[in-house]
Amino acid sequence: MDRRDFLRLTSVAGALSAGGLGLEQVARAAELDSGWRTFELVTEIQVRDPGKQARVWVPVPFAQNTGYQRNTQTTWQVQGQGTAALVRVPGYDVQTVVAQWPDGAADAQRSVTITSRFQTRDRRVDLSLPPNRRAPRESRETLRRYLQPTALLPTDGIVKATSDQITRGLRGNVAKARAIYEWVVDNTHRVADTPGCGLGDVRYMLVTRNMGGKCADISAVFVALSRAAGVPARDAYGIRVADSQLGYKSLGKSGDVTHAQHCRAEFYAEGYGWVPVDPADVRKVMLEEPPRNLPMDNPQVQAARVMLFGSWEMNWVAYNHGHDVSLPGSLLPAVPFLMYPNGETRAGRIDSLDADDFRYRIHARRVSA
Amino acid sequence: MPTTSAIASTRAGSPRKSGADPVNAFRRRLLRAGLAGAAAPVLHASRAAASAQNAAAVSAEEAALKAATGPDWATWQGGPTPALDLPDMQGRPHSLDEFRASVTLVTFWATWCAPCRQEIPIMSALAARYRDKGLRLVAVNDAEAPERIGAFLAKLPIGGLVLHDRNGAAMRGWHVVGMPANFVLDRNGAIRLWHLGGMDWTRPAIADAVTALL
Repeated sequence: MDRRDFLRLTSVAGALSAGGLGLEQVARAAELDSGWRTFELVTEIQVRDPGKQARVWVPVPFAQNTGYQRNTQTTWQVQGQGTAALVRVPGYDVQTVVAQWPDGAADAQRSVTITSRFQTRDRRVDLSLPPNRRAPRESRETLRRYLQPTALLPTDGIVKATSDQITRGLRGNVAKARAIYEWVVDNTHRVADTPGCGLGDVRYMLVTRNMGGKCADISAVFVALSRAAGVPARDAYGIRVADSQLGYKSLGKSGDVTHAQHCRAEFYAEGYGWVPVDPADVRKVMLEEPPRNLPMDNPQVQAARVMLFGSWEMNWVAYNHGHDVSLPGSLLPAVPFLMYPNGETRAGRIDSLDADDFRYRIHARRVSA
Repeated sequence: MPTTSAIASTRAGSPRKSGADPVNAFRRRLLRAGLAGAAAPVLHASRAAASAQNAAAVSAEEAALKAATGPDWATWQGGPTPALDLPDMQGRPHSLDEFRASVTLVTFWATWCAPCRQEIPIMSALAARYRDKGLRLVAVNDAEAPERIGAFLAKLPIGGLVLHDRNGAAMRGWHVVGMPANFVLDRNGAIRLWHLGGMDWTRPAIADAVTALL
């Protein structure tokens, strides 16, 4: 769908909404781009910290083929007599390139360039259709994992109470997830000053009623509330790799994507498989889409709200679904998730959000049509 | 002035937990300390009883979190004062032993934290005003790069000892789940008060609670 199509959609959506028809019906009619696109993502790292035993962990797109992301190939070049390997972290199947350098390497030579090529295709699950027996099925073991609490995603206390309140009287995962999605969109907001993508400490957010943050915060609220309602759900950590083709300036990034990490979410429903959602991007549209600070009833916001329950524009690539990730070989505690390059020396951890001092740069480009 | 809405969540890159000892487990251990003291160990508790006990502990944890993010200081019920063995910005090691016999205001901060930037000058002025009576300020930075901290301090000096929590160990130990995080220690080194998020330091009650311990 090109920009003209989207603008036509939004104006129609506004008109139909006023006339009493659901925006969802309008969005359902919109075709997302069904073609595969190939991208290249290049992460360049130079360890500026003078400490010895320098080591970095860089997230890379997941390797398994899906209906929306496939054919990932990752290569790397290490300078300064360093070594590197692609490592799979047990548990959530997180993949990371780990690079390290001998103590004698000059600071300026402790660098690594990691290149991933992959294909993506826009993703949409049509929830207007009845459940399909031939829909992708997930294993029970995996579904159990995505019902469990994590360090920052508890499913008891205020999380359970809030989830019960939202989903009271509702039956089925789609209905529950939809109610939670609407609640999250209505009750969270994006805070520009939040470092990185936020953290996603759900209990803290709910208890303090401090519902502001960025994508990792907002997605985490959706995931924790869903799990508390018995709906398998998971975060999807990744990075934007292209401008949006749907007319949203705020929902895309190409070229220098050093700060374009983005976290989305999914829930599972029998007969549909994993369903993509992105409540955080609804709030991003509200805050950042020109002329900024759009109200909830703005047509672009309304269209995004409908579209992002059941579809992802794949101008973004998924790294992993991991929580509490123990970086292979690190002597330090686990990180909440792996979405940025991480590093450490014998002196300690390197600030993963400080790309200038770390130092790293990430570039994305489309390779072919 | 900042209120609870001005709480800054901690940063995503902070190593705040480990697989073996995740932040919630740690937080609960701290926050349940009061309950644990009152409740005798139940070696053969039924599942229902264990569940009820866990629910009570979660409820206590959330009540403590709510109190600590209100408009006023909250009474610390998290047990003994955690260690604060960290280097300063020149790499010299420090510990809380240096502050025995002082009333110490410990604040966890970061350059990106807007409420921190508001509070630090006020706390610095308070520490300077009551220095003769034994008030000290210790400002612990949350895992930022030394270059970034140095640039910040050049613009906004802190009237106290600045420590660098590079790996987040103190953050975990002190139950810092929001910023700024402030703690008041008495002359025996025991934490008496704590607060998460920005406070309205123009209210006399906030500073009075600190100076009352002098």
